[in-house]
Amino acid sequence: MSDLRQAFAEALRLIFSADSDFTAIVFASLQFSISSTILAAALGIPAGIALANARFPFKRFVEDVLNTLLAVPTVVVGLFVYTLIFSQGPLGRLHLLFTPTGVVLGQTLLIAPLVASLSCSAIGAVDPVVRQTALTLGAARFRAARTVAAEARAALLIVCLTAFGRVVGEIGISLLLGGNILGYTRTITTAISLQTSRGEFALGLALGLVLLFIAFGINLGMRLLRTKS
Amino acid sequence: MEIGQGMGAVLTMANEKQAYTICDRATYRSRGGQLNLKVLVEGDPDLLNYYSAMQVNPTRFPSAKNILSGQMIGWLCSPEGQKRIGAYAVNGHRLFNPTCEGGKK
Repeated sequence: MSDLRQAFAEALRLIFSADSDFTAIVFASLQFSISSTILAAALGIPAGIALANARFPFKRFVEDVLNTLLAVPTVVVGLFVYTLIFSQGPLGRLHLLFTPTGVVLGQTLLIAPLVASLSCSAIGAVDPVVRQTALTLGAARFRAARTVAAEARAALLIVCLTAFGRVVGEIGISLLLGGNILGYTRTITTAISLQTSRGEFALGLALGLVLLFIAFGINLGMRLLRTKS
Repeated sequence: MEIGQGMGAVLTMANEKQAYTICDRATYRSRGGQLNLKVLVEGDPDLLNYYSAMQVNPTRFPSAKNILSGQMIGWLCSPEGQKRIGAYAVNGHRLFNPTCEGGKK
């Protein structure tokens, strides 16, 4: 019990003294997660809007495939991207394995379907009157879709926060594609796993607290966005 | 680079980055076929890597399974155990040299 209390005290000390290993790890995690969220939003939001507006055969099927991708475990995405970018893989020449770029690539592929699927729902939830009004006022289809998307902007921001929350706490991709290299690709989750296996709990606890704090921030942001919209 | 992972993962990464690393022969041999890495230094007495079996102190840890662990260590040091250790091979390469003599632990 005293071990745990000591670890907790040490964890708080690490957080408040801005220990250099600690801040490097937190910074790497935030950098990877923010990059992949932005990329996934750039890919997924237009795809979601297009899917919500389009009418084509097998649309339900495409939605089913998208929803299946939401359930793919992170290690499976990691494995898939690993086989693409390792030295013998089709993209091996780019030397992306065990680099930040590799991690961001994998994380983007993990959450892009999530962003697309949730954006599609968010657009679908906008009152159909908005679209009809835009069309009767003479807007072309693309312009009408933009008006609907603008109407759903708070919901789309919530989608991005959800995606960020998923990616900041994942470990499968960070570990497989990043390799947990100190000062380079060591993230909050891979560091926690390593520290626990070493039996050193303080840094792991400190990083766990940061993750909780981030999750709290995300939820707070979502609530503010919901009450605003 | 410090990656805090097992020997196998280190070899994979060294192979991927074409980097230098220090590794035990057992792991290297068992992965040998898939790796594009050359051995630069080997066989130096400084590199000898002893494996030891140690029993926890039964007076300090009465809950430890002392009799079973004693049997285990006894078997490892027995002629039969030592023979098995010496005979263990991967792809025809012996990996270990038994050094336990006559019940010395």
